[in-house]
Amino acid sequence: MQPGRTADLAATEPIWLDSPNFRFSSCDSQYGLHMAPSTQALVAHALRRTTFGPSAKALETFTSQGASGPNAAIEWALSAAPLAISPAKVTKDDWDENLRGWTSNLLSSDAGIHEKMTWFWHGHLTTSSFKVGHIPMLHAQQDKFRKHALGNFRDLMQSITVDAAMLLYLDGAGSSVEAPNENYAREVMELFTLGRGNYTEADVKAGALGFAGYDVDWEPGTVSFNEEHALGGEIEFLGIRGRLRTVDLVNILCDHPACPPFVAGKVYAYLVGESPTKERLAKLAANFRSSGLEIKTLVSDIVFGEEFLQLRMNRPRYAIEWWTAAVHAMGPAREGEDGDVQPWVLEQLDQAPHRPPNVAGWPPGERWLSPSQQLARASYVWSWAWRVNPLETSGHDLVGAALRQAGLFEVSSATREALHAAATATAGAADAESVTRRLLTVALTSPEFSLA
Amino acid sequence: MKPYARFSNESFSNTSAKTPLTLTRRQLMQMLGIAGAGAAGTGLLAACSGGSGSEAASTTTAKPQQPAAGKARTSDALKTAGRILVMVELQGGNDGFATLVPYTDSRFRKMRERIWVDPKDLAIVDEKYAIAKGLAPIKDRLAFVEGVGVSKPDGSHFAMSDRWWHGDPDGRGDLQTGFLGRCCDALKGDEPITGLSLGGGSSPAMVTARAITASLPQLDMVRELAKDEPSEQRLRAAMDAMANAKSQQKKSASNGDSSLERERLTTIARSNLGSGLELLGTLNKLGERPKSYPENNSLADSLALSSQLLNLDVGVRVIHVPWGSFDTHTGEVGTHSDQMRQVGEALDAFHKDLERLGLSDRVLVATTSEFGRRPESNGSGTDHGAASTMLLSGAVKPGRHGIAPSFSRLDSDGNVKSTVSMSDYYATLATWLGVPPEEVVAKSATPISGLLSV
Repeated sequence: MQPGRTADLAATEPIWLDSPNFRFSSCDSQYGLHMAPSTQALVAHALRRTTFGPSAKALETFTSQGASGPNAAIEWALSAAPLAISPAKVTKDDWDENLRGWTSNLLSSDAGIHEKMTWFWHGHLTTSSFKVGHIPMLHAQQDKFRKHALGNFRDLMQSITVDAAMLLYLDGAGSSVEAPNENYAREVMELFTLGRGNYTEADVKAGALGFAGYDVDWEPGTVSFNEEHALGGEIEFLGIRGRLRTVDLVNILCDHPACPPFVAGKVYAYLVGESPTKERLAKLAANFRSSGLEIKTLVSDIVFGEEFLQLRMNRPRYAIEWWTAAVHAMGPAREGEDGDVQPWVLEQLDQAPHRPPNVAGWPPGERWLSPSQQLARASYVWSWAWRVNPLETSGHDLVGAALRQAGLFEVSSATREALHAAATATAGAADAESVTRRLLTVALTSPEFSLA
Repeated sequence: MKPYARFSNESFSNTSAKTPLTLTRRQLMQMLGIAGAGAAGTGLLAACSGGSGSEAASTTTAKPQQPAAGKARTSDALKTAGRILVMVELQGGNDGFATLVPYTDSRFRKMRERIWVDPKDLAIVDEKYAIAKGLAPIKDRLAFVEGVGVSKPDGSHFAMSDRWWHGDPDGRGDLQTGFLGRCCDALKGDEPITGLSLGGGSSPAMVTARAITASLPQLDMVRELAKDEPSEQRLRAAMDAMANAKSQQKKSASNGDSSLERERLTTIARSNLGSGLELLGTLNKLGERPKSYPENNSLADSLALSSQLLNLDVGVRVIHVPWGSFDTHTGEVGTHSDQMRQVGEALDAFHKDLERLGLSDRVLVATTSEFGRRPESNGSGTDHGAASTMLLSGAVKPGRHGIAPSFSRLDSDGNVKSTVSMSDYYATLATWLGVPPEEVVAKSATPISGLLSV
């Protein structure tokens, strides 16, 4: 077992409540938190954070396990086998096929944390198809994220630094010692490994010299290295002097004391929803470092942390998380209806693969709750939800059925009331479809569903 | 001393700084005519636009026809009433030297040898300057402010964007509101939405303490949602009820508890859903996109929508349009000139449209960009620079303003030193809106004289 890991956290129901860090949420009639959250709520939370769900299947599987369900869900997500995108789908230069390949992975009920981390690395080490409009090249980059998603951070960085799409995106391609391009040298330090304040402008200039010498042939998309354009003399980079080439620079970055906490902090915020405390970060970084930068160690430490199940709904869902969860919540189309979930809608939701707003990927935060997001999301559900099966009710609890389908088990009275209003507006068996459509649209644009 | 001390109380300590909750949704809906009430004449353009003071409007029963309550401004308020600022953010760091080109400067020419553009491919202004050819259609409308930047520049896109968004020239990081957001707060009257972000979602530049700002997705996507059919009306009523719900949360939480953050985000989500629904009501009144705007030009799309919304007179005073990818480390000549063409075509169509609508003397278009590019080329492009040339059109005196930065006195990174401060530039834009500069930028800032045409 990893240090700090608490796998027996929820072995029996009361144990985790006894944890020294646990506190009851403020007496809050909004959320019905007079009592501890239900097993369902914790399972749904664990799956929200570790997958692109929750899928109905996983929700059912782990809820049925009772008190051990939340932890079992985390265990499963961590050990679920990686999914591959079928290469057959991307042999041609087809954006749509590539998008469908990736999104069908995201939506698979077999996808665990490996898929979640693949997406993380795509955001962290991003490449835009607006600049690199070469689908096989982008697909090759995706493969690297899949390969290293829970692998070794150093291997990932070595691999991505000389990746054709990355060389084109951050202008390493064609950079020479005579005309060094600073783009990659700056961003690899600022955004990928160290963070601001840990390097100087002189390091950027030196790095640009050390990274020089690569080129990319557009067809067939291969990387070449030209000794004539590479560094001949010595440079000083982050306090180390020598004839430092690309491999050396990446090693220096990975060995830098600022690297483990920087990367650990980013992964933590993604999975837990907020920044770690100083002490927590120090422990995570130390363990990450001593593991030799094994990503699975870091991720495991994070998701088995005591706070993982406690810190719920504290960050907005990214649009990609919202969309995948919404597709799960709506369920499949009725027989005879078009079941295409229209993944291109991700472009309108501002989070299509390889369409980041800039080199920093997709920023977290309140922009994902913006009016334009809300309208685009409501439009999507409204345009799709008339195709799905009417809500399943055992009795007349349509609201409960909508919330269950949406994976929402901690809901404010306000949202509940809005759903009741939506359900009663035109009750009657004749238009179960339109009630379902309206209820789902309201549920999936509720504040609670907008949060991770 | 903190800058903008006047704002320190609310901007630094108010935990709801990013939660622009003011009017109830129902009031807003009524004002916008969503619930059947007429919206005509309720816009800021028709009303006096004095600030409404510091009282949150949540306790106000807003009456559309009533002039703004609260403290009166000077008689300047009348002159500046209804003025509009359209801020186009050229993302990625626009090369000021490829925008306004000192094409006969021999030192410059030497540094740019590898990406030199033949003067015949530029629009010549005089014996010293030319402009990017794509700007030629609006040549006579454009003002250029040279050398705009900060005293201690940073090479990071994100650090510099942050400074520009917040109007924080030194990167102190202590401002919670954005520059445009503070302008909206100062302008806030009775109208529901003061600021609008187009094309890039919500931006930190638009974060307010009080005023409501909103953003819009692509219109085609939301047209069905905006329909006036019974089923859509019922949906919107249910969503409206959800947006209007009052928080019952007690503001208390202990460490290790995420309920306070949950409540904060929930409040923002509700408020934004409400703003979105308000805009949705407006969308029904918009006609088709005017045909006079160029196709395949997303800047033109945003400006066309701006013009339509301004013409509806819904009270929007500040529009933010983040646009483009100007981070031209490689292939600069093609990328930059194509984007300048799009800027030229979009602004040409916009200003002609505004003239047609009789709005041209109310609108100022101004650009920002996190930084310029380095004078010396890196091969086929340019690396991150410092000061840059800003573009303005509309209510400006065309031609060059500011002070050309020197190529012979570069800083240690090889970049030009700024000659006009971000704060002075922003102070000019605030003045245009009738906002006293000291309310939105540092007290020491002085508007650039002779830049505005009024």
